[in-house]
Order: sequence, then structure tokens, then C-alpha cells
Amino acid sequence: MTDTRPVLAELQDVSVSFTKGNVTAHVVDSINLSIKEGETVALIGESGSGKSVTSLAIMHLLPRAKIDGKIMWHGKEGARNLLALSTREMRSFRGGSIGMIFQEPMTSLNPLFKIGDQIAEAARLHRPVSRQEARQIAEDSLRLVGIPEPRGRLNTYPFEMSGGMRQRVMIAMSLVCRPALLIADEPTTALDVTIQAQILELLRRLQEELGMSMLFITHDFGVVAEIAERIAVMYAGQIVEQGATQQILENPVHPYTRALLNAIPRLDKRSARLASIEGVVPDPRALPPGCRFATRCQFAVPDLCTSQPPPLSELQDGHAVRCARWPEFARVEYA
Amino acid sequence: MLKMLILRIIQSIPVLVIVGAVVFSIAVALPGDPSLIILGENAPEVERQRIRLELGLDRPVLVQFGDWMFKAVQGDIGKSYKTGEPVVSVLAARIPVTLQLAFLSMLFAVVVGVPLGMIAAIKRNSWVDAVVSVLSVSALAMPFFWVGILLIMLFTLKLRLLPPFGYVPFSEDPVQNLRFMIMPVLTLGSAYVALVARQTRAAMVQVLSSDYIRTARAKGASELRVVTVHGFRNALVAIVTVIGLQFAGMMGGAVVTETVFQLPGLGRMITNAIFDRDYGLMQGGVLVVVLGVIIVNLLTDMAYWLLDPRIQR
Repeated sequence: MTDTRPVLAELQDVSVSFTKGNVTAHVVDSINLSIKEGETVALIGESGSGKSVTSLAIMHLLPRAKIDGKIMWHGKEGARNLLALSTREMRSFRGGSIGMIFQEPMTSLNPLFKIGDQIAEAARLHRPVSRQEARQIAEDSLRLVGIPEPRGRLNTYPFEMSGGMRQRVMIAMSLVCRPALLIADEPTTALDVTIQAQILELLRRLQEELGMSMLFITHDFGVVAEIAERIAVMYAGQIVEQGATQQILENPVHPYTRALLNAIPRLDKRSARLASIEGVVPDPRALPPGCRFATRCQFAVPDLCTSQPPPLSELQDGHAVRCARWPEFARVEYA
Repeated sequence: MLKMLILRIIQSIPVLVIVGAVVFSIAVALPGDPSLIILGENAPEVERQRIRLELGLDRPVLVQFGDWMFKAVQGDIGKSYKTGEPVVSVLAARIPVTLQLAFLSMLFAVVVGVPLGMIAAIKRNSWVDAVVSVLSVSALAMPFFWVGILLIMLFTLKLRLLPPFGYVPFSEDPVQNLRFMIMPVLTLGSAYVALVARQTRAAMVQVLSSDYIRTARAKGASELRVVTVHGFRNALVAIVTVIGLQFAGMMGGAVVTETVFQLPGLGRMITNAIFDRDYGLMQGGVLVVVLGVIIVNLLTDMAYWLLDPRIQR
């Protein structure tokens, strides 16, 4: 089955670097990623893999970073490169066509303003509505994300709500202008497991109801399986493997992807201890010349893996992997 | 709100009693006999004894203290030993001067210091930040009397713009009053500009790195709106704290400033009262200063209450 949905957003060779003094950290390196209309794409990786930075780059929320490449947006008014927009133009995208929610619902809302006012602000920033209308929009928005008694809730402050409720408020706020794309940066990481499931379910329902696209950032493969159609695995600023969720979960090829999947505790497989990946993500200020995972990869061989950076090679439709030894691994069944 | 206010006022009473006791004991413990000050060094013993009886100094200290406190509660804080004037009426003439000086100095500190601190925070680690930081440290390092003398040299001797010292009540001649006040306010205010600027910068830097600021940007708010609405409101609690705390310290600066510019304020009155061994006046003066600090603390708490909904509920 071929996917005929038009592409909504497209990252073309996007690189992000931070320079301090004469040291430059290459945090994101030549990412190519496209998100179709109504599609949910997951960006997955460890802390420090560059996944959050990628999402913030789309929103221009990295004041000190140097961003290269193109982020093409195929909206109603034709294609535009988000990276070439003026500050004012970009502002209309933020919270307008692109909504964003974050990892920390406890601190992501302004503690001094009523939640009704914070949601209404999002509406008034983008639409010429009166105070009264904005308040109505805020109320409807709270109802949309399943908050009971939305009218009364408008007058509460964030500190009077639980983490799960606050994340619902964040979602309500990001959806006020019915964005075409919602970027969710680890929205469930800070929440209890039961609340996590509720929020995931909510996001999936809203995505379907509103027909929006979603870029879902996470480090949790369990979450990904629930929500994403396609997965891009990031490591040290690069995409090391991407493909349809089924392809990745059933037939992961990159040793890093396999290691990540192995790191999920499973009840059906008894093992003495939890699997982990030895070592840490390489310092973005001093990246190895070859494969960036080579230092932690148990299959790394000298020269082949350590001298040349491996290219992203396509195995079959849409499934691509950045590993020099992929033809060997692709034949080995993953269990 | 009302409940908190009443509670705080009740809490202030022991503070006032303790301060009253401390001030009273210092006056008693200090060397020097008030009767000698009033009558002169060669006064005959009979006369001195009469004065002591008149002032009630012959009674036990505790009785004197109790009597003083009892009258103080009724609004009578005694007479000046030196002039015989009621302390209350002396204070009534002095308080407005110091109040005006302190208020204008703080206003100057806030009006200049807050924007400076905000700019430094927004442009942190730039040359603007460095300039603000160097200016702040310099302003803090300069003693009040020295700043005062420099200002007199500039505005009076060089530019011939302002009178060097003196005072006219605002109600008599507002323009002349403000002309007399400019240099004292600059003197006392400059150090507080620096304090307020530094505190504002620190608070803003912290606030601007918070998650909710990123949220505000993510929903499309302009940078100006992010800084002034979302950022400043949150930094305000810290800024109000420093203003409230520094107000007490400002009384010390007021003593020096009033002396340099010969303003007839509370600070100078207390200094003179100490030199004159005019304990009656000194006690009254210190009591008023303490009362002022308590009131400012109360106002600071009320400001917190207004600024932060988390305190309200």
C-alpha cells in the first residue's frame, strides 16, 4: 500500500550547532525527515541524541544556535522554508500552524496566571477575537482535552492542578488554533504510568479528530508502538535508522536500535538483569570520525566502522539504516 | 488578606516592645548624665537633683521603662531633654523630610535599576551586560558621603545649577524643595540603583530560562511580551523582596546623606540627639525608624500576596 498523503513538513539536511568560544558542538547533523498530513512520526533516542533540539529548531526556539539546511512547510499558501522566515512570520507559525507541548507539565505553565488566561492568550495572539470569545475558545479547548467542568477550571492556577491535568491544559493551549502539526516533546515522560496511558490515548484521539500531523519525541519504544506510524531513531545527532513502525519493531537492523529495544524490560523473557547499553553518547564537541555508535557497538570492526562515517542506506521501501555492516545484520533475524 | 494583615500587626507588637527595651537600655547604659547636658557642666547639685526628679530619672530603671512604654502606647513618647519640646512634635517635623528622601531615592533606584537589570538579563554576557555590571559594582563601592561631595562639586561648583545644601518643605515651595532634593536623592539612590539592577538581572536571568517562558514563545508571543508579561511578573517577587529589605538599610544611608546635605531629617536628628545625650529624643527617633521598617515589611508581604496567587490560597 502506497501512502498518497501529501507531505506537510520536510526537514532537509538540517544541522544544528552551538558555538561557545572556539568550540563548536554539532548537536544535530544533516537530518532528513518528512511528515505527511495526518501522520504521526516518532523521533526516538537517548538523552543527548539531539531529538529535542531538532524539534526546537523547527520552532526557531534555539536563540543561540546556528541552524543550517531547510525546513520546508507545505501549507495552504504553498511551500515555504521555515528557516528563511522573519521573526514576525515565524511567530505566526508558533502556536498557529505548529503547536508544541513539552516534557515538564509542572513547570511549563506560567505559575502566576490563571489557566483560562493562558489558553485565551494563545487564541488572541493569532486570531482577532474579543476577550469574551477567547474565553469561550479556552473553555471549548479544555472540554476538548477532557477536563471536567471546563468553565470553572478557567479560573484555576496551575499549582492547583496535578501533572496530568497540567499536561492536558498544555495540550488544550497548543491546539487552540488547530495547528496542522503538533510537536510533542516527551509529553508523557514526567507522568505516572496510568496518566501516561491517558495522555497518549488523548493525543491519539485528538490527532484523529483534528486530522493533524504529529511529531512525537520520546526515548520510550513502548510509547512509540502505541502512537507512531513511522519511527526515526536518532543517535548523536544523526538518524541511524528509520522506517514504518512495524518495520522497525519487527526487523530492526541497526545495532543501536536493537540495543534500545533490548533495553525494554520484558516479562516474557526472563533474564538475570536488565539489559543496558554500555558507555555514553559521544561528546558533540568531539565526535568520532567513523560511525558515531562504534565506541559502544559490540559489532564494530576496526577501519570499516571507525574510519568512514557510514551513509544512510535504504533496505526496502522507506526502511533506511546508517550502518556499514547492515547487509549482514539485515539477514540475521532479530529476536 | 485582612486576616493575614491583622496577624502580622499582632506579630509586630512584641518586636516593638523588644526594640523599645533595647533602645531604653542603651540610653540608660550610656555614660553621661542628662541633667548636666540640660543645665551645663557647672550646675549646682540641687538644680541637677530637681531636673532628675522632673525627668523621673531617680526611679528604678524598670519603673522608668514601664512608664515610658505605657505613655508611648498612648502616643506620648516624652519630651526632648534639651529643648523640652514634645518628641512627637519634633518627629512630626522631621519625618516628612526623611520620608521624601527615602521615597524619591527608592523611586529613582527602581525607575533606573529595573530597566537596567532587565536589559542586562536579556543581553546577558554581551557588552551591555558588562557595562551594567561594572557600573553597579562601582556604584555599590562608593561611600555615600563621597558621592555627595562629588555631586556638590559637579552641580554646585562647576555647573552652578543646584544649591549645595538646605531645605524647604515641599508644601511651601515645591520647585525649590525638589532642587534641594536632587543631589541627596542621587547620592542615596545610586547605590540602590545598583542593588536593584543586580537583583533584577539575577531574577530575570533565572526566570527567562524557565520552561514557561519557552511555552510563551512556543505559543507565538512576541519577545517583548514574553519578557514584560511572562518574565517580569515572575521576577517581580524577587525584586520587591530586595526593595523591602533594602529599605531598612536605607536609614543608615539617610543619616550620612542628611548630614552631608544638611537636611533636617530623622537621621540627622537621631545623630544629634546621641551627641547631645538627648535620650528622650533619641528613643523616639529610633522607635519611629523601627516602626517604619515594620510597616515596610508589612507592605512587602502585602505585595507578595498581590503578586503571587500561590500565597493567596
